[in-house]
Amino acid sequence: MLSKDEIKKIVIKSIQEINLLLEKNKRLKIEKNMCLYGPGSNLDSIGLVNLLVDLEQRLYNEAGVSVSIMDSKAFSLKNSPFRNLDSLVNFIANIGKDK
Amino acid sequence: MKNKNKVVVITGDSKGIGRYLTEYYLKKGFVVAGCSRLESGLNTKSRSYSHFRLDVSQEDQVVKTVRSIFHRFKGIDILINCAGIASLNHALLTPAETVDRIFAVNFKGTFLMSRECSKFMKINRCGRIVNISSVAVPLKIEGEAIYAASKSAVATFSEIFAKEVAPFNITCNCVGPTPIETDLIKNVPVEKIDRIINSLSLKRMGKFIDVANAIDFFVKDESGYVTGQTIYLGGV
Ligand SMILES: NC(=O)c1ccc[n+]([C@@H]2O[C@H](COP(=O)([O-])OP(=O)(O)OC[C@H]3O[C@@H](n4cnc5c(N)ncnc54)[C@H](OP(=O)(O)O)[C@@H]3O)[C@@H](O)[C@H]2O)c1
Repeated sequence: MLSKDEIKKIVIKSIQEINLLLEKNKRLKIEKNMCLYGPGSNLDSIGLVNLLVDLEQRLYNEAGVSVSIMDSKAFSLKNSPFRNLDSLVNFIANIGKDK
Repeated sequence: MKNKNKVVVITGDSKGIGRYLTEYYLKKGFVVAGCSRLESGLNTKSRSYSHFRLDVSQEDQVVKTVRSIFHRFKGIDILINCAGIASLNHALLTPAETVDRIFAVNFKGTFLMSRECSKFMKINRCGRIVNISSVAVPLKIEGEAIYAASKSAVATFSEIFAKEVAPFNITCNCVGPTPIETDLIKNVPVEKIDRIINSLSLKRMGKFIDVANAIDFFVKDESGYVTGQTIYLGGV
């Protein structure tokens, strides 16, 4: 499995890709504690789908890792893994560990 | 030619309607990636045809196969979910295991293929999905409760999925054929088929071309504004 740093790099590339689809003033600012999805973010639900699909494909194409990020666990967690960059990176890092 | 090099994925290409559609779209100049559990046995020298052995109800197989199709052909333009099974029986005599199997192939298979292909269609911001339901849904035929329920699920799924993939410029529609002479219905008694045919406005058996014609409408370039629709054939 990838290290958290490696995962983070891939997540950032996906965010950059998704930013290309967003209007300039709606783009996500990539910074520590950035808000990804939820109150305070410009990403709508289709944007989140775009991001996660891109991310799954990138994890496979760039690192050979096949994961399904949207498993049922993602929704049952008390704190959404999609709220910010670090929570998403942690969530992905843990998917491999559970298996 | 407009169709040249467009990639169409057809499940259930080894026989019946799926086989017909495979040959039909090859003749029209499409690249066809056919999927079914067995070897297709299609005798063609066409370099535009590839067969992938796949059980559409198995998530891991679907994920891997769709990915390989995309990487081999650099795109997926059209998906036709034709793989299907039937087991016609009185509901009181239907084992739960049969219900699982029918829903796994007819509904879950359609869902998995639609989900995975859409992920790649999304990349090119264009795609057409056509699912196969059946007139067994609107006709509510006794002895087909489970099969018709699975095909009803396919129609409802298609109508809602259409909304969910619309932002990616993917359309999703459904065709519901009437009885057509294939292995699927070879064990259905003639009298029962006759009764179904008699309940149609157009009282004849369906032909492969009837299905192909309806699919053609949904997949053509000009139909980009048509989505979430189910066409039942025969005037049901
Ligand atoms: N014929 C009719 O009267 C009629 C009427 C209305 C709707 N339909 C629908 O039309 C579709 C095609 O039916 P048909 O009459 O052409 O049936 P068919 O002749 O029995 O062919 C079914 C096809 O589905 C494939 N298939 C079955 N299970 C599969 C699985 N788990 N994974 C992948 N492929 C699978 C079979 O290939 P393998 O065995 O190699 O896997 C075969 O190629 C079905 O969805 C059916 O419900 C048919």
